Amino acid sequence: MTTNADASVEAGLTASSTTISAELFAIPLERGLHLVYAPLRRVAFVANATLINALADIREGRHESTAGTDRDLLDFFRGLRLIDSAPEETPSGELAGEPKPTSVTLFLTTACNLRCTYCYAAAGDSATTAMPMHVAKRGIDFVARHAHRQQQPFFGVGYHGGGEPTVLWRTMTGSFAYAEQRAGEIGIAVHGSLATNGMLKDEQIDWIVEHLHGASVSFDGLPTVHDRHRVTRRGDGSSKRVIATLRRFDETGFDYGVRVTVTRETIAQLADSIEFICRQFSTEHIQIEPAYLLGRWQGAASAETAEFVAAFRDARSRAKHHGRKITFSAARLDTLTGHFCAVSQDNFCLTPGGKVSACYEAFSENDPRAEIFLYGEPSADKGYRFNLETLRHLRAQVAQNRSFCAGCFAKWHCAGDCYYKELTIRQNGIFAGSARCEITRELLKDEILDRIEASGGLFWHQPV
Amino acid sequence: MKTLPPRFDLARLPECEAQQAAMVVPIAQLKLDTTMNRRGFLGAGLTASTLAGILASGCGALSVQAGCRGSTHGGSVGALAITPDGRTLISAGGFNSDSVKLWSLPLGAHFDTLIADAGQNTSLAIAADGSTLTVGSSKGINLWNLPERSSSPITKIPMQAVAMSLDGGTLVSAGPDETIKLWNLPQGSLRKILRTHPGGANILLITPDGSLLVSRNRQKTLLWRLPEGELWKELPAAANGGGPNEQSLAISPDGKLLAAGGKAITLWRLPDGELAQTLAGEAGIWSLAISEDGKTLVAGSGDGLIQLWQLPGGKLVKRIAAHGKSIVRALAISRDGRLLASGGADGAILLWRLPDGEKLQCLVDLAISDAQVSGMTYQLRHESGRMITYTLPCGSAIPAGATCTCHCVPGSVSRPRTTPVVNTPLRSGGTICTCNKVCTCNLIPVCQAHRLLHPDPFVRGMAEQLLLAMGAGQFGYLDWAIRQADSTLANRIRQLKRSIACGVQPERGQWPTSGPCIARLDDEDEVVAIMAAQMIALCGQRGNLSARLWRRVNVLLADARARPWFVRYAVDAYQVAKRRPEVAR
Repeated sequence: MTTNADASVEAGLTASSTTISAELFAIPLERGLHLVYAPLRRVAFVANATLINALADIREGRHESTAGTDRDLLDFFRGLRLIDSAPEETPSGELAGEPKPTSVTLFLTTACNLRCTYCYAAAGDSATTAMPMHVAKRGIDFVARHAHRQQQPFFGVGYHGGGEPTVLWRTMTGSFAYAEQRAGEIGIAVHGSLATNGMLKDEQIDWIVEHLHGASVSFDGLPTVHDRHRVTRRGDGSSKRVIATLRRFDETGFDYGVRVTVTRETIAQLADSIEFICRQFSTEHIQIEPAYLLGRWQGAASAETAEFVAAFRDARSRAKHHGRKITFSAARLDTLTGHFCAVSQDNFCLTPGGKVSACYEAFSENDPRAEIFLYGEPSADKGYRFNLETLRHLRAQVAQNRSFCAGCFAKWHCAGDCYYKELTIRQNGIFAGSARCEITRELLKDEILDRIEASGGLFWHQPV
Repeated sequence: MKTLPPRFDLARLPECEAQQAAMVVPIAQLKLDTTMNRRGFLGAGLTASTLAGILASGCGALSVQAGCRGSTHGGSVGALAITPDGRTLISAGGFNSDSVKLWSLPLGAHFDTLIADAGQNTSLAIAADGSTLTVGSSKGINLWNLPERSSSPITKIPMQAVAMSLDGGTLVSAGPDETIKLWNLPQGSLRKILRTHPGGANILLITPDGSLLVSRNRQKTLLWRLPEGELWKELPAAANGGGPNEQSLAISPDGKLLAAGGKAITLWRLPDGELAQTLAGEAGIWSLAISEDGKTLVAGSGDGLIQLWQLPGGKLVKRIAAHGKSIVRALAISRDGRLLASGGADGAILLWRLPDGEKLQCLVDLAISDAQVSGMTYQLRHESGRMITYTLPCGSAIPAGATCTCHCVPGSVSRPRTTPVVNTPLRSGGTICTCNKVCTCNLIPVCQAHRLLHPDPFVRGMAEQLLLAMGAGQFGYLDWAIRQADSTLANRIRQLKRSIACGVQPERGQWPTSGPCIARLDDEDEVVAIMAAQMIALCGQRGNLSARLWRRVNVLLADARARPWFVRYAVDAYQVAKRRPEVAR
């Protein structure tokens, strides 16, 4: 005859040493079921309330309560390293020391050949600025030097923000020729990238294909949708030219991505737009973002709504049918990080005036948040002088420091999301989440459930 | 106003939720909330509050009268069945209308036409699992898998009646060849042929335990033992239909009582077949149904009345004028006993609340409605994942969770009366044309929970604080609100519910000053305006208001309290549905 205690030992349930060894989240689903998710273990499964409480028992050291939990389940948890395992490794936190960037992003100009209604930069509304060649060269020299010192195989040069970089074509091609020359001199490669509106001439496309490693093209899908917001100075739609650019990219096998911006008015067409992109073009990178309520779109109706999530799901299903994936910047299940973007990682961008900015949205000294994001300026020694206090503040924008996000299962994926956008929606100066958070959580939840389904339908485990 | 941080860290759940064995749930068992395309007309209602009643609210009443006749199958309604989960009503057309349609409950909205041409004399039988439906008609018998909308034929021989055992393993059919056939399911193999009365049986019923089969026509009512199929007894002539209404027959859920309709209602003890009681009938009884708890007998008469009888005892509780002067041909009661569906020769299907017999809704499929019928369309994503446009007659409350996609919609058979704004293709090839005529869409539900993701952070904050103030006493409402919300919003509501369960209280330090609330008293979103009024009342800011503003606050609060029962019914129904498994245990 065995006692209860014997039975517990027999079942391996004495659990004197059983402890939770993972950060566990329980995401409510339906009918009392929860999606248990351990992001740093990359584990997920659906549990009923009893199982949730069994895990709570273990966490609280109420060992006797686990007697109802059979040994198989404990073994299951052990196998997933949710209990009785070494502590999890959290993603890297704040950087320290002098910035040593190996990539530079050049904000060549605030001029633009389009007048997109939702432009976050309101490009073309104010006096244009243009980056002199010497500013670009100094930045290129700086990152080339660091890449060389760090024995990196290449350094990066990107063209982005505030306007359309290809409008300043000579500076763009000239600066990249200089970068290629510098790369040759120090014996490493240069990787070029571009964010463009796609209003390109054939010869420009050919140059891009020949010299750059990739490009992100703003394209909203169906021509009627695209032309609703992305218009020329005269108000004409731009889809025809952009479609020609994408076709040319496809013909050459160039690696490009499409960024789709969604407004409240175009949410309903999102799925059709993605269908259009999948049918017409071969890009594997389709990023979808609600329009930022900044610049020309400030005060507009937000697209960060439940309808957006619904439309995203429809669009994802259409894309899946074509063997493609669509992404939302903060819902990155395969990314475990404390940093949403490079803002907290010494992102090295240069404004036309030569100041160092950490953020693509803070592209000029006139930005209302320039004091927060501009953290350096040229120094007398061909390098840059950094404001360490500003830099420290930017580096502190990591998930580990976001107390508001501590209980959120998405925190190691979105890492608190975009700091620039956060500053625009803060309540009483304090971050208190946003509608984007809901979108992120919903889309992540979908992705996790998809992974479970793809893994056989019971649980997902994909150790890092 | 400050928003609470997200709290998804694994925490202990209330023990009442943890009744089963611990288990990892296969994802295939999830239905997963799908999104609903809605904005602005999200519905929910509150019946009370923990704060001096100031938070009570509800939503619109129904006043549906026009547009119900002939609005479902074009002709009369012949048969009705409600799935065991109470979420779907299945209707079959009667004379001159032979479609089989599916309607979502409790909204009562048409969401699919299962069979466009099912044949005459259609009878329905649904298995206890809710997924298997047998449709018998002049075109034979088909076995339907409802979730998959797929069917397999059992036979093409014309049938007059079918019945299926609750376990779905036995099918019984009666045809004009005067036989009763026993079939094995799901194989569909013929097990036995019984010889029966001249003319064949017009209705078949199997007792819940599957041990007895009742067959009936005008001349005879026979009891058969199952599974052998041996004739057990012939009931006295008083049990027979005696007229064209021989299909009025019902067995109580405990299988001990058989109700037979004719000129009157006779109650018979089973299995011995002894007459137990005779209830007075009016204009002949054409349809019968007994509630799951066996306490209510519903009878439909030839003069359009529905009678509610109390069992045992046989006391007439209520007479309802339901289908004008038309015959009430079919009745079905939901398993939770809260909902009655009636179908009439007038072509209307009506939903009624039980036990009090309050009318809830009439069902409309505008695609077949008369040209003069106009209605409001709204969209919901059905659990199948499809976005479905539903239609209700003008004057109906917009169902919770729906998006009002237009204002007024003429019937599909009419030509557009004004410049169309949207044309929605219909399966029939016609179009529903959205016109600019504004129907009465004045029944805007109030729902704080459905403002938790409002684009305006202040509104979000108000919703959160108000719900926190309501506290755990409103969990029933929150559960209902979750069911009505798309998954994004549902998760947000669940999150807040967990916060309440964890003891989170409204933060007085976060309550706003009167200024921002006053600014929203005239918000175009009436829900926001009411919430602003509730917030002012909650914060005790009367002193800051002028007499005019205080009147405005009171008007809004009174308006919130006055909103009647439609959604509250849904809340109640949900709570009952949630409790049912516990009762079973």
